[in-house]
Amino acid sequence: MQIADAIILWLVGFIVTRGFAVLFNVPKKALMSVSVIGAFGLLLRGVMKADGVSLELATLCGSLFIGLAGFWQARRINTPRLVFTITGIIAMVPGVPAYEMLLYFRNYDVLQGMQSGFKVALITGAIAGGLSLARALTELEWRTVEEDAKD
Amino acid sequence: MDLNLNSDKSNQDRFLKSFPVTGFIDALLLVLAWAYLRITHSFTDQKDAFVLIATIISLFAYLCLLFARNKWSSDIVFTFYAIALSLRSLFLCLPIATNQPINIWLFSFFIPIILLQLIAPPKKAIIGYVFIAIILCCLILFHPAPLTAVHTLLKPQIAQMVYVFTLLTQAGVFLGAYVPDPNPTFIRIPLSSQATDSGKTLTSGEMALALGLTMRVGRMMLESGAASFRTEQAMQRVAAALGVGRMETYLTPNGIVGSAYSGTEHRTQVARISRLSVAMNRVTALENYTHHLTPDTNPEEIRRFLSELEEEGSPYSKTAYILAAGTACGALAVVLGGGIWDIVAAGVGAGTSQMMRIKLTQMRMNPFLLTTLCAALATAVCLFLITLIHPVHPKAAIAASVLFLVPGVPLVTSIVDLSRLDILPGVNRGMLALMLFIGIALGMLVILGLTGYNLF
Repeated sequence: MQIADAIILWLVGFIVTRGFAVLFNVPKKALMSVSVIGAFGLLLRGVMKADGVSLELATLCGSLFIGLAGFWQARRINTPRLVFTITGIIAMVPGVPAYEMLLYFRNYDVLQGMQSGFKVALITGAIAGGLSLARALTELEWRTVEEDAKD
Repeated sequence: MDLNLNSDKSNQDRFLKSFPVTGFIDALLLVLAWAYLRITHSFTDQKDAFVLIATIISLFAYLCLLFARNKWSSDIVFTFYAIALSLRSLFLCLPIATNQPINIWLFSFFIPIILLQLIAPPKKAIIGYVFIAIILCCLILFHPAPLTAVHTLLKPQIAQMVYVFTLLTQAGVFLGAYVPDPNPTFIRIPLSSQATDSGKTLTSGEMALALGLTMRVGRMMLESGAASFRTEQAMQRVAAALGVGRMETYLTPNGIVGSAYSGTEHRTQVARISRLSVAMNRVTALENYTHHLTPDTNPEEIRRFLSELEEEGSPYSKTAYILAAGTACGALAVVLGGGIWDIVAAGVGAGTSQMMRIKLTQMRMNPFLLTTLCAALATAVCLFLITLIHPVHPKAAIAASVLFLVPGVPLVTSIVDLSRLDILPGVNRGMLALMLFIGIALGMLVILGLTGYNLF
């Protein structure tokens, strides 16, 4: 990946994350750090993908980064972590394959449709996996299941 | 600050005392490694860049902490350094993960972390070690092409072990840093099985009031798009603050069932939720508020807060929303391979559609219908512009113009719910996301079918 490509990708990530952050009503004080975190997450994924890593593994690393960086920022400006994580990963959400799948199905192109569908499932799983991993690393509470009432 | 995480104080103090020395050795070794690579040219530009990035991260973290360690609280310093170390090792490990030959510089970050470990040993690292080990072993075992480089100074197997071990140590540093605070300043959520003994039992009327407020908090959080476990925790906190002995909740995205117990009394309420939107500002406000509630809060106070929050308008102006949708979709057109005119077409299509979306949301239209109409409008405007200006990659423009409608929040929250064993809400949200995707596809298909434009 060339440096120019990387800069463009970073800018794209920044603009996309910022746009969605506004659509999701993210508090103004968190807007800047959300956008920067999302941009670096997308850049990390892009760099890894250009370097030959599979898209799913790259997505996992990108969302893991967003989860950890989001945790740090969340503590810094005293905001729940979901503001950073959910908005940060939005640029990685496989939107095009998702509706592509339905358009393929409509054209009776079942194989292509299934392919897109599995892509969506794997990438979404990778995103959620990265975020959960970040949580498991930073919060002990996340690793246990609550006990139910006895009576 | 009310940090509920972290506090192995003696370890941290030892870490802070020794930090200037270990941090310096650490940073120095990385700079030397980078210089060595530069001189011997044993790497391509790309690998060189990764090491450079890692070096910069390391130096930056070291300098920041050197100057700030007396001003910041020790757990913030520790967290910051642990995150910097992890980021760094991620960059340093990239060449290995991408199946490139590795070199002796691996040791340059391996040694300092061992030093750090010896000085500040994390106590609760075992779970993390095993957890990460399994994941990494799986990655290495099932990686399509095993590491086969012949000109490495290390044997590939040893290299892999070093890689695994380094990441394990990272996880150890992390886990050592986050131990729950034994004496939190705010209310701890009581486990359902332990009825809290606040010493007082509520009357039937008081309990109805408390339960009503709790349900209102839950409803507001779910309406704003919060995940189930988060909503449940906020409700538990409110209930505990109002003196309810035990609170049991069952959440789905469309409704809440909640029971409050106090002494021998109990009450149950059901709340139906029909509005689904995404409002992070509201979730933030509710989370912060419920985290700072103290025991025996006046219900009237909570009610006033909730009413104020409900009356509060959206934080951004209409123009900001339209611009946000336009720029985001324009930028996504770049990712899909579009040029400058594709950006314009996608951006204008999305902006126009967002304008209508605001109007329709005010009319409280059914979300499925709303998504279909907005997707149709975005596609139509985009197609119209494409026929006017003839961009190079019209497909990228059309695909990008509807992306602002993608239900990313339900999609990800669904998996978060499922991973917390909240199966019903998880499936619910997944189906909602699928329905909205069908809405997008339907809207596009109508326009594409009418105009006869072939997307594939």
